Amino acid sequence: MNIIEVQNLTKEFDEKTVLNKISFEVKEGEIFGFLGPNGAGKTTTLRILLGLLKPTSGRVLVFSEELENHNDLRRRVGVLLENDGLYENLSAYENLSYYARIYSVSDEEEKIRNLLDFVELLDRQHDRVGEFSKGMKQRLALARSIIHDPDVLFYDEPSSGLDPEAQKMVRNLIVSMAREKGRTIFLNSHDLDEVQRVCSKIAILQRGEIKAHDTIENLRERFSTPAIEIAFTDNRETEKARNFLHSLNYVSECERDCLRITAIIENEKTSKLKCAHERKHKSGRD
Amino acid sequence: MRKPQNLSALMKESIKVEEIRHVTNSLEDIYLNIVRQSEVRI
Repeated sequence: MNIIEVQNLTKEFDEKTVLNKISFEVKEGEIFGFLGPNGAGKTTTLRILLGLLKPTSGRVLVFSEELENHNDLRRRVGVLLENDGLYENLSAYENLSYYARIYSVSDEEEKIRNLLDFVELLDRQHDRVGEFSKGMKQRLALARSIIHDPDVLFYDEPSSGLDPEAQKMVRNLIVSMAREKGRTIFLNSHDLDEVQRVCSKIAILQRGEIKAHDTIENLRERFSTPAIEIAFTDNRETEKARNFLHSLNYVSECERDCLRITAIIENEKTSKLKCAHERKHKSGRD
Repeated sequence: MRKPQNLSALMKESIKVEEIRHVTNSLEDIYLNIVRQSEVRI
């Protein structure tokens, strides 16, 4: 079942087309990665999906209903955008309690304790959030985003600026929200390593258009560049091989690391693309 | 199109190689290939 369905979505600002007929869908229980360079239109898409912006044309269906007909959309979605939405002067417990009351959550006390346990902050529940590290705040913000038991979650760069350990914790929480609790997750991210680890499907947006939309495995089959890693027994052989590889016109890149060399093998398609790319940049400079 | 296997053969002929393996492209490689391809088409 499609939880989100976007059909020919277009958004223009003052005659500038920011989104140009984009289409994609997100299925129930999927962790969907939405990728693209800065300025590609990712945030605009997210704001439209959340009902914060109106599209110029096209359709957006959430839970099989037109976005504009939704009365209970905010109750069924959880959101974590750039701002974590937490109050620094309140404790972890008080923050969740505040949001629980906004959403009229029943069994508030039990729910909050379970969530604090889930994000491993139960022993810090009475501490002020202002004293928390960025990673702890982000875990609490994740708990805040699911306080009302939403079916779909929209996360914008959830592990941005966190240290590797905190990133891992946030990543594991996102995965368990989808796998154990059956939630659908729309993940807007620049962290390709994170996306590769958690997402089942991705879409790549560039200059307002969807350039690819598929599982990572299928995209790997279509867009991979053939590469090999070669191990050698000694320095002399490695250096000989490096010179040899450099002399081959179908080896585009060749990187040595101790007794190993990684070589990118050009195929016809990638060679043509690379030449065209270089020509374009050269003409740009001229 | 020449495939990595051809390269492996060439390598084995002239240089003592311990091991050759294919490298799986990371999502970063795939992403850059897609973005580069799109830039060229413009």
